[in-house]
Amino acid sequence: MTDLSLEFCGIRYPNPFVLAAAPTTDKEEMVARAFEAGWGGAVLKTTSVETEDVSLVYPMMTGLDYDGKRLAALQNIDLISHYHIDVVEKRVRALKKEFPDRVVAASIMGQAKEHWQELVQRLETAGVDLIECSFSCPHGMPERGMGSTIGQNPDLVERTARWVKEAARRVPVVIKLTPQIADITVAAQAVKKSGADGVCAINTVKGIIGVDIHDFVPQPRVLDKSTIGGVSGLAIKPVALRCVAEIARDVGIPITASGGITTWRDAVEFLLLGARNLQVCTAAMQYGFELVKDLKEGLGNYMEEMNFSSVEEIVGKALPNLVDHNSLSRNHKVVSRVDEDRCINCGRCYIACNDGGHQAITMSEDRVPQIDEEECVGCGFCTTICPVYCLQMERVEEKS
Amino acid sequence: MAEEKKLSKEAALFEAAGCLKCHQAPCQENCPAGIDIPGFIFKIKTGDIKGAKRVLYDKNIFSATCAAVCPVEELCQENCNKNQVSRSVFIGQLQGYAVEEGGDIDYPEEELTDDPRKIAVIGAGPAGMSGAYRLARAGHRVDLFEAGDRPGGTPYWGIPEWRLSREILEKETKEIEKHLNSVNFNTRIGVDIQVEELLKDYDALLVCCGLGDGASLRIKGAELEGTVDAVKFLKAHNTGENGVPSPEGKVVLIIGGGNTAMDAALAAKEAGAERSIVVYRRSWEEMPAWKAEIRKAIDSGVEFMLQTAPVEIVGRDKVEAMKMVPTRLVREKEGRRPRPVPLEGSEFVFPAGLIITALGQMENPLVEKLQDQEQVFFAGDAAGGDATVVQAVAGGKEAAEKIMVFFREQKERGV
Repeated sequence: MTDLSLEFCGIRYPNPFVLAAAPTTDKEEMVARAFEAGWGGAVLKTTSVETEDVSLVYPMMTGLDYDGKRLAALQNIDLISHYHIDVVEKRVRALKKEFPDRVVAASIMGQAKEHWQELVQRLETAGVDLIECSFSCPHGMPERGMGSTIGQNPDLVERTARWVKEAARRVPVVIKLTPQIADITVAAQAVKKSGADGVCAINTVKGIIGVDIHDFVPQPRVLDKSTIGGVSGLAIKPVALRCVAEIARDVGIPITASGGITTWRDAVEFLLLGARNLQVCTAAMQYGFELVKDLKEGLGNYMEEMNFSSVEEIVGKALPNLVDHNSLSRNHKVVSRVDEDRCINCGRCYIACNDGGHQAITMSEDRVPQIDEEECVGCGFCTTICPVYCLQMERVEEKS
Repeated sequence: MAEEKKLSKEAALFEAAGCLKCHQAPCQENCPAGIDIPGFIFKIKTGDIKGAKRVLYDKNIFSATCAAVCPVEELCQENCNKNQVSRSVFIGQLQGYAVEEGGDIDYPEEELTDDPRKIAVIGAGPAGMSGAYRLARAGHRVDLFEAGDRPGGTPYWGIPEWRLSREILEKETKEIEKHLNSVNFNTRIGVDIQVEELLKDYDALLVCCGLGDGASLRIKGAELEGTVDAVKFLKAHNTGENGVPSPEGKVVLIIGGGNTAMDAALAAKEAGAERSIVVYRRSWEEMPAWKAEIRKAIDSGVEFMLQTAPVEIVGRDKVEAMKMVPTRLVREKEGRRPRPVPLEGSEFVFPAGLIITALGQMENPLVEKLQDQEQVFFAGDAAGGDATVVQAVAGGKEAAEKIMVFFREQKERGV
């Protein structure tokens, strides 16, 4: 089998797939099962000092349906784990003992310097491999000056990260960032300045997943009210990819990616844009821990097909191709082309071009789209609509 | 079967999600009633089931009946673009779901004419009722005449209950009746009311009287007791009337290869026939019955004797057997059905207790009588060729439109 190992913050992961700090890692037994399924590591759900009051509400999750399918996105109003450090340090010990080759990370959150430092020290003593600090939870925690309140203020990011890094003697420190900031590279830069080892991008995107249209309560509803929550899942992948790419390109700090990774293709895309560690939450909750088998096999098959001998070779490979808008070519023309053999004559491209494009597609009598290459500006919208992927943009010689 | 077709909410959503919402969708183009099929399916997908039902009834006043009986594989589903990648959307089942779960809807509003006229509609089948409804909703005064004692026409007497619940049909005919000036059952044209009277009293006649008697088998012994016309047989079977011989415990031969033959063969089986055997002169390929109907007959244990022609019905005073002859098929002209030629000398006698002839129906004599009258319009089977309920519904509506054009032209000419 292809070697999928990859180094992140000085630790060699047997494979880059890691369960994110979430419900999936809130029990020792669950993490053990995940490791048995093949996950390279796990970030235990964010813990706190014993005095921190964690009061959860239920239900805490609602999905976003799209076109007859479930869970295009997931919103949660969950908080950090209600298990405090005393429980989590025991779990770290047990898991490290049972799975010494896997990376056991722990996520922490505190209100005061003493909390942060106490958490780090106790976890380190318990044998944790890596510390992740949540500066990014967008709901609940900010109301007490925690979570994304820190992540949105570069000064607080730097100061808090420094506290943690100072307290850590041995283990690397990773700061989990929020996308709710005008420029995420500023926050990542602050992490770098603090001396911490890496960043995790991104935490959930602040949102409201829906509203009950019959009794006017937003979702997820807790009795008769709701609150703004954090959106995760496939729908936030583009935001996460952008954040990862910006940090990789402009800051240069090791990144563990999180945000919508569902398939091995998503995983490859994150690697290509500079991530060197891949965290999965929503998809693992949706499909179960066995998902990692497919992620690993898919990545391995891709590497074989592309002749990559290590995952390292993939990291950042797409970054040189990400440039400013100004630097994009204006000196070529593309037009849409139809593969008539594959076309199923649905006419969706016609509607798309007519009402969302440049009226360059007409339908022939036998219902095959005809593209007027003079009218086609090459916007590419039709290729996003075709249910059988039979339209493609092709480069043509421009007439002078 | 009717039960089997019902979709749960989850199944309906799943099925609706598969619709591509094609441009100038072939399903809609293949629907005789012109229902906005992608439109109603999209509404199911978005959870607006009542809206979906409105879309259906906007074009087809017999939407629930058609949901039960439409040969969707021959119509809307046949050219579904998704057939090219997997399978068609189950449009018929989605229609059934929408009419069932859409609740009560207001029937579509129509713009009222400023020139109301009097129209007599003859025949309370789907064509007559849909035409009558269209005219009435436009503000015309419509009197409906029906020889039978209830509305529904062929769907009422010709389709078995397991396939079309009479409750569904009645609900739809009742709704239509509400809009008409009068509904006159047990009123036979030429007996209870004269044609001349109608022509004098009404500005237009819409004739939807259906077909006449079944074509008879012109072979020796055809007059023997134990030979029955398929239409009569089905009528008795479906309405519980007496007067036709029971197939119970008998070997039943059904002569013909159309949908009526399949229906009769199924009905015979259902009524306890020992064997129900379709005798058809040509092969599977030429059989005019729809594939789905043939499949259903086979699944229900109906047997087939293909390329076999009846020669003589044998019996002393009632049917005891039928003499038949195998045929070979001779193609005389490209594009035409091959001619069955009997293999002389190969005749055989096959014991049978009941023979049902399904050789097509003849024209209703009323049609010829009323032909060439300017104010007389035809629809449904009376106009020829409307094989399905949905085609009859569409035909009735089209005839109603023609009548209204006729009125406008009359007005313009100052008549």
